Amino acid sequence: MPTDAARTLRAAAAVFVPGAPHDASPGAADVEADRFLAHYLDLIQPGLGEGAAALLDEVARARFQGRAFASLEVAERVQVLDSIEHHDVEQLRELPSVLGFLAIAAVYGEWTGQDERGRVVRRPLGWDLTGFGGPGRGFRHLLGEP
Amino acid sequence: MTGLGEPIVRPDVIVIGAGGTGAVVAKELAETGLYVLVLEAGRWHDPGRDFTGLEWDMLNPFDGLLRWGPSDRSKRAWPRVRDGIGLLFQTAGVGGNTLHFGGNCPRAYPASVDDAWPIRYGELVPYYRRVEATLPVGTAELVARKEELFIRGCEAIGFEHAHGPDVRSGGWRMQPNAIASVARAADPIAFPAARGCTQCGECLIGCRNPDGAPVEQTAKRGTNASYAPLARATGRCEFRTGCFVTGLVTEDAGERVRIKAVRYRTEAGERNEVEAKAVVLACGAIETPRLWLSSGLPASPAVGSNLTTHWFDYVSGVMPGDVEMNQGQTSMARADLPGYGFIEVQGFGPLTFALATSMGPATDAPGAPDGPWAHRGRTWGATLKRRMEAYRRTLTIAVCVDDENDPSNGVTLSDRADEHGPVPVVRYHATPATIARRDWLARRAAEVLVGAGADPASIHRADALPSTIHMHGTMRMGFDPATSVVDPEGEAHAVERLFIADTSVFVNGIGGPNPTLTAQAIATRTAGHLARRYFGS
Repeated sequence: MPTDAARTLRAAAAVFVPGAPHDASPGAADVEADRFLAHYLDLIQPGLGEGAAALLDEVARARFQGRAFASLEVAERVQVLDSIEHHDVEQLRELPSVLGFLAIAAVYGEWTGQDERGRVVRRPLGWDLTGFGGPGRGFRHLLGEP
Repeated sequence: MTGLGEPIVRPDVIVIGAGGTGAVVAKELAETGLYVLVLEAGRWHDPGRDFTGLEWDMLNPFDGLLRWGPSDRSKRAWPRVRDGIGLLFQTAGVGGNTLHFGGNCPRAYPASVDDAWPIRYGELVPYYRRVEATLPVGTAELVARKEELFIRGCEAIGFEHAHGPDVRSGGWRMQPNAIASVARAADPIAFPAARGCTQCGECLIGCRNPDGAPVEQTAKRGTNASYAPLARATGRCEFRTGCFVTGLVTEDAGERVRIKAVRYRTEAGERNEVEAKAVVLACGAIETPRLWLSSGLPASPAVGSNLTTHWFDYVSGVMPGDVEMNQGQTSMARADLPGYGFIEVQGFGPLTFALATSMGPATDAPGAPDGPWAHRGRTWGATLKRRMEAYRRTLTIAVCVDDENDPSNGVTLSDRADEHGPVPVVRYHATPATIARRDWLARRAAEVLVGAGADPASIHRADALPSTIHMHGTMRMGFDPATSVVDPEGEAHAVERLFIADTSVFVNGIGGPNPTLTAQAIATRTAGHLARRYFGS
């Protein structure tokens, strides 16, 4: 994916799960969630990753004097997403929800702890953000006497 | 795993779908001596090898193991067109949606059956008992922290402790769960020293414990672990997996047509046709009407109409101390509220919690709340992060509404097609009565949370979008062919020897309770009628 498009998706993901400098703990941009978004958007429909980024930029430029989506303040990005949610083209209205779904999954799922083969090789960010202990084989204190 | 059963070349009966009900029909028919071929779109997973306990890996709709799509996860999921619905939950594979259900197996509310169905609740009771004994279903034995708090909240607002399987009045009760008894602690917690439920909290993402257990010994009694192995053990049932049925073939039989054969496509793209003396549709409330319509079977206004979904919602609140909602069976206590539906304590891993409770409509605008909650609807940004930081102290309650029938809700065919034929359109828009009942339940859930000790300022109502976690009613049963698709014994009015045995035959949402047990009871009953009507067995 071109760098500009990746930057745009990263800026969108950061709206849903913010990190520095807008929040005290790491968020979507800190884990490069744009790679996760691009992968799944293209799985939903080939080319959707770049298409989504182009739409975000197009609406941003029309609304904010030619500025790219990634250059907007968070509140301005929210306005762009709201605008797409009410787009004249019905098929586009769901895009913000899809981006949010994927941004949340990138941060709070296991992806940030996996290697390229899908093995969990370190604690994912979301488990640290929530205190989740990770999947296991059972909870001893909830079982019967041995 | 010990194979898919004996190859069946000339089946007496073909069952389409090996999910929550198809495996039940297969076991019941094969035990009468009939030869049964089950055609299943997905695979028969080996939980010990295939289930990872990772939320996204197992459950995501795009390439998750339990998605509705090809077993080659690099390929796109099978497309569906949604109208008014957020996520469609369909699962390919032996076990179907019981691979990710919570194991909750309550009976229908008697009044909801007696008031609307062509059969009486009392007629279902022997079949309930048979399924409850086979799975088996038992009353949850454990009060984990989340259940302790839920029960405290229920009693604080005056819900009485109810007992027994027949729900004729409101109250809280321990869940009837199709989950094995609590395991004894072992070191490590592994089979065979540990047998039964290890309380790992992974019911919704595929039960794989105790570690090392064969599929029949995994704790949650999805049909992959219960009915399908029993069907296979008869030696008269084959599960032919990776086979997506694309058409039903009929022949002239006088006043109506008769089912003759089934066409299916393998994952390799081969197309086959196989004949049988009878066929049972057990594909679920979306695929069953889709297959009927795409096969060009006789049209009727009842085909595809009256989808109900229990339109789930989630209300959560933050407690002073730890709750650990991921520990223990997903839900071990509920409050049945006939006339409205029910509420139940809900365990989630962090990702499922985030997605289930954060993706509602954008109604979380500043202003006076419209109920006993501080926030309602979608949460993004800093609000989401603060809620997730409180994950371990959060108690969540699921709301399941007794949603009103609306003939315009259901399944039709779009003008798009995939490799299996026309893509279905699934429509669900709630009626005003449904919305009012759901609001009433959400308010009770919020009161339970506060009664349990939650900070009122932390109460969040997700206002979740409709989904098909539960789905029923698109091929309803009845006496009148003008308003129903199958007769009270499950045979299609318009097609001889074609039976339907899944939740699509429901006449309503059974009052709100989880539908699996009722669907399995009806499937048992339908299998018996089929065997007697056409095979004299």
